Amino acid sequence: SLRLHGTEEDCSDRTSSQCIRFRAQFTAFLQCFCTSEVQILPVCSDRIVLIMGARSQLWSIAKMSVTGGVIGVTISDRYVTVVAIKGHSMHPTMTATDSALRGDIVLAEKACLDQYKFSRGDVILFKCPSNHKEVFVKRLIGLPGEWIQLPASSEIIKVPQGHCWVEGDNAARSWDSRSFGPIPLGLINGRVTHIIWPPSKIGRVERKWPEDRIPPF
Amino acid sequence: EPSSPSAAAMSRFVRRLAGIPWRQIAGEASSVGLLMAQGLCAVHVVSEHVLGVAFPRGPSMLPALNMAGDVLLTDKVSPRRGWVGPGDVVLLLSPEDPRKIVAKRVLGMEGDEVTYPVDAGNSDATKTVVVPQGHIWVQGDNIYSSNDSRQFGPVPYGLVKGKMSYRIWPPSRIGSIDSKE
Repeated sequence: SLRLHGTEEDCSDRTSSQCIRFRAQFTAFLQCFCTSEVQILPVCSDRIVLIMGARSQLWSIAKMSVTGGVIGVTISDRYVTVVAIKGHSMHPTMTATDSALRGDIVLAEKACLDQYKFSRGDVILFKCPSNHKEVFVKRLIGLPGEWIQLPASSEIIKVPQGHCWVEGDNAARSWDSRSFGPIPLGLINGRVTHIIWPPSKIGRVERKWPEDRIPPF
Repeated sequence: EPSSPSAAAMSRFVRRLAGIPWRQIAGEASSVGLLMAQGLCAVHVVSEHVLGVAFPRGPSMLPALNMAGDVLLTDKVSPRRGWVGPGDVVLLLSPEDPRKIVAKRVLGMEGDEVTYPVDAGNSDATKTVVVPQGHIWVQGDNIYSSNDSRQFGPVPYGLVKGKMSYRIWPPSRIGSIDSKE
């Protein structure tokens, strides 16, 4: 119901004919906008209570969902977002199965995108450099400006400024910087901080250095 | 019965404090705060996902864009949908420093052959490259003073953040940015 505040200076006597005429005219005016019957009840001298039908309920549900959606998108863009893992490149830290409900679901924070300050061993989300529609999750192995050793050969390469070197924990099934080279930091979407599903794996995702890698210098 | 004038003043002050409608003030403040939060979220969603504004600076896009003072409308829908092609002026995160946003013109999409001057102003030598999958080649219109794909190579399409096709300031140059091939 909608409450309208108004003063009816010439309606000190609620039963006066002027008052009744005013209410009748106002009811007719509002009836044009409402699908169901409009009634105006003189509850007290300066309040008019409208009784509207189901249409206004649908409208308020629509308004609440749009507001909720806008706030949700903002939070997901700037603070924290939820991502379902597909693919096996981060096994056993994170696993995926064929159905989204039984694969791991993780929490990723976006605060790191303010200054792009990362640490070695962080697990990050980033857009694939050869297909901007796909999002990958891998571990950050080399920061900008560092020299790192390629695992297969004994080559040493320098990670260029503004780029980083990423590798998956499951080296055998991971398509990562060993194939597509260092990626620009601008492709990063967020940093994974926690696993929130399945219940047996709930907890922080720790910064970890792969065991058999020489730390960069 | 208060025993001294200061105690009397104290009890008057406490009574006045109790008379302020704290609950009503808190209620009104939180509803105003909620409204402001909703407004800020709406501004974020629109400027990040629909239409934003950009203030490009620097000489690399002369004469299409001024060195400073231009205000451009940024279309955020097109890059996400892949509606970006050669000749478009785009905003992208710099591959040399992700905190910098640069404005450049797209010269080639994935698979295109791009021929570019290697050392503009000093020699006429050119080089031809094929743009790799998922990447684009960007160059500033002012090739004599532009740090672009000639220096940092083709960039992944995922770095593109917006397409600028309309200028709204200064008034003498309001209109669309020419799309050169």
